[in-house]
Amino acid sequence: MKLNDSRRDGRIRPSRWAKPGWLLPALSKMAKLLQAILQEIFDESAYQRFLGRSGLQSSPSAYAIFWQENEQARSRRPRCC
Amino acid sequence: MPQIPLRMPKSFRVILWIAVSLLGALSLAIVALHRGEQINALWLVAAAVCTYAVGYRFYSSFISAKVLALDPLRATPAERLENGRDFVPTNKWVVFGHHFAAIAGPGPLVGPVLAAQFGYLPGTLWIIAGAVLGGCVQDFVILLFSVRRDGKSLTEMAKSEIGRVGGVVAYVAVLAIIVILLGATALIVVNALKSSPWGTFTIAMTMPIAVLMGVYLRRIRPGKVLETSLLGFVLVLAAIFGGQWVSQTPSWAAIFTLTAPTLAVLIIIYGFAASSLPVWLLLAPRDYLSTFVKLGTISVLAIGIVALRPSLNMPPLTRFADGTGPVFAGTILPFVFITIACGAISGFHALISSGTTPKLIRHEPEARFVGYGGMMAESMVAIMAMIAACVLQPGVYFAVNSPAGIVGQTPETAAAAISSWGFPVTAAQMATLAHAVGEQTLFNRTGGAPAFAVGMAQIFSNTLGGQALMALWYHFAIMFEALFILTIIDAGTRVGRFMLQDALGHIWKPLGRTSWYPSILFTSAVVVAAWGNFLWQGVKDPLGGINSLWPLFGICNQLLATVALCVATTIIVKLGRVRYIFVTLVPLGWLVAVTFTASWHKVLDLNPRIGFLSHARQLASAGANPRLIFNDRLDAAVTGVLVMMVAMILIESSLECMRVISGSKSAATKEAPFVMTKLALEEQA
Repeated sequence: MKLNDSRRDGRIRPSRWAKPGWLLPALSKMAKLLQAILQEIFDESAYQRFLGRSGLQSSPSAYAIFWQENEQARSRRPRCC
Repeated sequence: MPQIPLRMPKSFRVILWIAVSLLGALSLAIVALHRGEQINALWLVAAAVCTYAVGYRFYSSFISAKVLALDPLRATPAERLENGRDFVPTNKWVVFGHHFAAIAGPGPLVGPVLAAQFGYLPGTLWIIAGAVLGGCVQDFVILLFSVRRDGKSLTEMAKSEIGRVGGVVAYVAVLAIIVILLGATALIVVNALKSSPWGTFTIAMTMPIAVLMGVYLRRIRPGKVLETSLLGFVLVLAAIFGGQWVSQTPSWAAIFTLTAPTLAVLIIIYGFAASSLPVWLLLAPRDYLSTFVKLGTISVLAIGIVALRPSLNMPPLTRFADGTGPVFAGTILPFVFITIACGAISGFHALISSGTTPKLIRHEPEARFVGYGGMMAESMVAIMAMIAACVLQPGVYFAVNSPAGIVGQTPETAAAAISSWGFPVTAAQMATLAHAVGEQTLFNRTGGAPAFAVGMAQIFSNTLGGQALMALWYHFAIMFEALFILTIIDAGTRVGRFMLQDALGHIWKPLGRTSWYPSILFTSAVVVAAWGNFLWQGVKDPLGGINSLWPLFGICNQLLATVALCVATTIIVKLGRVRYIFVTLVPLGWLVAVTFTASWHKVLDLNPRIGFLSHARQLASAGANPRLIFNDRLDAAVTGVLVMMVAMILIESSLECMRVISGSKSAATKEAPFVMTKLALEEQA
């Protein structure tokens, strides 16, 4: 079974680019994706997940706990040449 | 509502891929066969992009389907072991960005610049072919095999799939590569900053800026990393402008004009401090700042090359194909293949592919996009570095990259020596260029970083701001590379320290405690002393240091790739897919051939510029400093030991494969048991 096969029923679907007004939603989606990428790279998402998991509000002490939790993992993460 | 994927009619797709293939073939033919006149850099870009596109569409698809049999129904560890911390199912684009940010370092910028001494052709062909057939494949298969083993590291996979020797060799290779990498890259920073008050001031300022960022992030705006990084970036830009003022103010310029040995000592002290201080205070903010600058600069450089379409001044092949190159000695085969590692194939990537990334992959098929695609992006960075080096006039390139031990101590002797090789350059021309970029001199700035910075400044100053901004572009590029490298020194020293603590903990338990301060200080000092020794050796080397250290680093990196491909080949055999073994066996065979040959040359070649031992003999007969003789012998011993250890893993891996193929051992791999995915089905619904 191929999960992403759009031609399972044998029909070729119309391209979503053919619809009018596709540009703004597409740009907005790209911007959101870029933001998500940057938030993951810069550990903002990890902090949000930590807040959600621990039920804490964002504060200097919560951030300190987050760092304590992540320090070991972060220190062992190699940066490539 | 489920999204309908974009599907083009089949006939259109066929025509499109034929067009891409033809454009790629045409571009490669122009890059390879054009002689005489300059060619436009866009031909290199087109050759690379089209080859990568075809490789991704067809070769990685073949590997996915036939060799790895990616299974969209199999739950990944990110789904099964989700804990919101290490294991998090993540969007494939986000994982791609995360993975790329982790694998992109100074390697793909420095290696191609050094290899440009052969001309643009050998390095470019190796970057493209090496990536599509080797580097991308290695990153992809190691990532997938780690995903199927709950995110296990390369060392753990080597131990469980090959045997105990495999695990030990992988461990030693990783530690050795970290130590040599840190020594070699620190030397690049030293060579870029020596006698440069502007550059030294800018980089010195990044340290208080990082501490300020750390405090701001911890106390004032917790968790707002992007905002803090932007603030840090603005401060770094201010430091670049401040550096110009410092360089023009004699009293301040005198303070920041440092010799190579002084800079080396300062970097060694910095490495020790960074490894011992809390992560949040210095390491993490610098890492964020470096990543921010890295992603921005690489994007700007890519846009700049495509928009400005510079011409290459370097010929496709230079006379130094014969092994007499001033940047580093040795013939194209095998030295171009160890000089360019990260842009083509890099063992270090296997550590990332079996580190954080496999714990984020949401669906198994996405390993193809992240692993194979991430390495393609890294390879493109190497192509850009090659372009930046080759837009320079060859005379300028060799003047910047040749050590004083080869071309002489004075500008006049250096210019005369380089001109006599057929690459005209004058002392006055170099003085004008040095003045334009705000330096006292550009002669003997070995290591690749200054040449890359001059190339990048030249590309941008042709349009944006003209010659007036050339000095700012140059120092921006120097800052960018030095920031990169100092971040690696921070992180690498700490990773090395943890590895050492893990090992020493087996001998005496307290040494393994990562929070015990005496252990932290002791192991940090050992790691810093190890790479500091290589740095000091490079600084004192009459041939400039890069001639010895960069090949040594390349050999280590490629030996680690050999270990990774051994692991991958063994697993493919155990999966019962021997007929597809060529996918990893071909790059493995190639790497063994070039790396072992290069190692042989570096240890035993009779030419003192190439062989460590013959250089030691030459120094001994000239009555040189015993320390220099010891350094050469140490380099020879390190190379020899690593080669022997990798030979052991090759033998053990081959025996394991033979046992499985002959049926004397059952083909059991250590994959995690199959669990049906819920995520994919939920998304499909």
